[in-house]
Amino acid sequence: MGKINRSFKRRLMQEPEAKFRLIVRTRDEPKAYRSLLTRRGIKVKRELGLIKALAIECEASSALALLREGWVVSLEEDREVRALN
Amino acid sequence: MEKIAHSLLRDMKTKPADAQIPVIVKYGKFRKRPLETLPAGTRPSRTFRIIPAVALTTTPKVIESLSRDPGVERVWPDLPVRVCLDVSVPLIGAPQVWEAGYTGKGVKIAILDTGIDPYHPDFAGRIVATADFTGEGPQDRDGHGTHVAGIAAGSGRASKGRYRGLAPEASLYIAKVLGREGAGLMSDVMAGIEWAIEQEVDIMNLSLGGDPPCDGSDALSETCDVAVEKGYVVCVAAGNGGPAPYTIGSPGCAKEVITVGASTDQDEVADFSSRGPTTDGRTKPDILLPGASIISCRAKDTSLGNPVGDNYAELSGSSMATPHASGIAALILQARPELTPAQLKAFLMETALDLGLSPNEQGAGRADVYAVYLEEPPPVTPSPGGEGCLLRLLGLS
Repeated sequence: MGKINRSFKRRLMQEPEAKFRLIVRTRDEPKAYRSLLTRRGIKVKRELGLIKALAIECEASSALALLREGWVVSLEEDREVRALN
Repeated sequence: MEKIAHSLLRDMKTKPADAQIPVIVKYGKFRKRPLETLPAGTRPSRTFRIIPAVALTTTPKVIESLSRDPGVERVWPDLPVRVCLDVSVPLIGAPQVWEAGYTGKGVKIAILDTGIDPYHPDFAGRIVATADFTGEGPQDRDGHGTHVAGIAAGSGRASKGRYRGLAPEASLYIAKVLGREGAGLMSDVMAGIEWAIEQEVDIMNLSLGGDPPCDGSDALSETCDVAVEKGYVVCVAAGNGGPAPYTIGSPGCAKEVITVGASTDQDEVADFSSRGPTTDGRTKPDILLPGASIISCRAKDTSLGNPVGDNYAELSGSSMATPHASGIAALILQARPELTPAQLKAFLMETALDLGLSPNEQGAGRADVYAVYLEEPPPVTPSPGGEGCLLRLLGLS
């Protein structure tokens, strides 16, 4: 599997200025990349150490640019979950 | 000795040689005269006709000699049953395990949900820690989390015991990861899991999920799997997308978690309960547990479900089935703290009651805490209710 689901990548490409909530899995400890992302104007919501990931919010174009980074293992949408009653 | 139920063996080892222990002895199908094998002076208090068995009270030595008799198939402890509470809890054998002394005491359950009503009488003195990942504060404004917590660990205090949960003395750790509309983000749930690990809980309950289908490779599913690998029992709802196949969403599709579908009180799979397989072809759910019309705790000033008085409400969903699994896990981990999450899951599945459905509908079947405790599959019997649950569960009444 690549860094991103193909249909999600298409969505990002179709709406380059739209804001997305994402989970970025990182090669090393996620805190190492926090300031790098912040400098690019990407909002870092959470560091998730258990699987080495960051919850971020940014424009689709910024997300697509992240795919070129060697330290980005994968990128996926931070999807909604719901109570199941 | 292998004919003697594990829990009875433990009791026999801790009791004096002249202790009188109540047991149920089952004979082989073709044994014509089971009573002739009883030692002199030992008389059964009850003889059963549906299966060849007797109830009697005797010493550890006699129990051992009975187990050596080739005509004897099995010896169980005849545990006292004083109360059969509402419906789902006795159906899955919890009162028998309570009577054996296991109520979840000392076991830590994390509920990752919409928060909790901290003033509900059924949780008094047992909410150890709370954390809010929604920005709303830990109070339950929706009602879902309070209901779920009540199934896993409510004491039933406000109902004089009627709506007692599975593990009424377990400690509760509340991570609010879903907001007042019952929704949140995967990353909020992942943060809640990390918090639960920091709290060193034993069990995590996730009565939540995303849109199906999934293959278990998403970030939330993998976080759940890592938690299991680190030694935490994680119970996850299968979802309410049934009866179509491929309707299990994340994190129900995670590989290592216990994925719980919903059954009815009549031991049928609930129509709404999500079905497997996962998109990578794995069988799910793992087990079924009751999830239809479950009455449990109601958070103050909420109106979720059908209110049952001021303190309780009736709800349906795989959300309600999942805390039955978490409560079972609490009872079993109190009795056998050495079990790993994988062993516990295996026991749950091996001892589940086969409902005769396909694995992607029922998993291994409807789980039964008493069967896990006894480490043997439960017999196929009608649903119990009222007095005499134990005998009905064993098929002896």
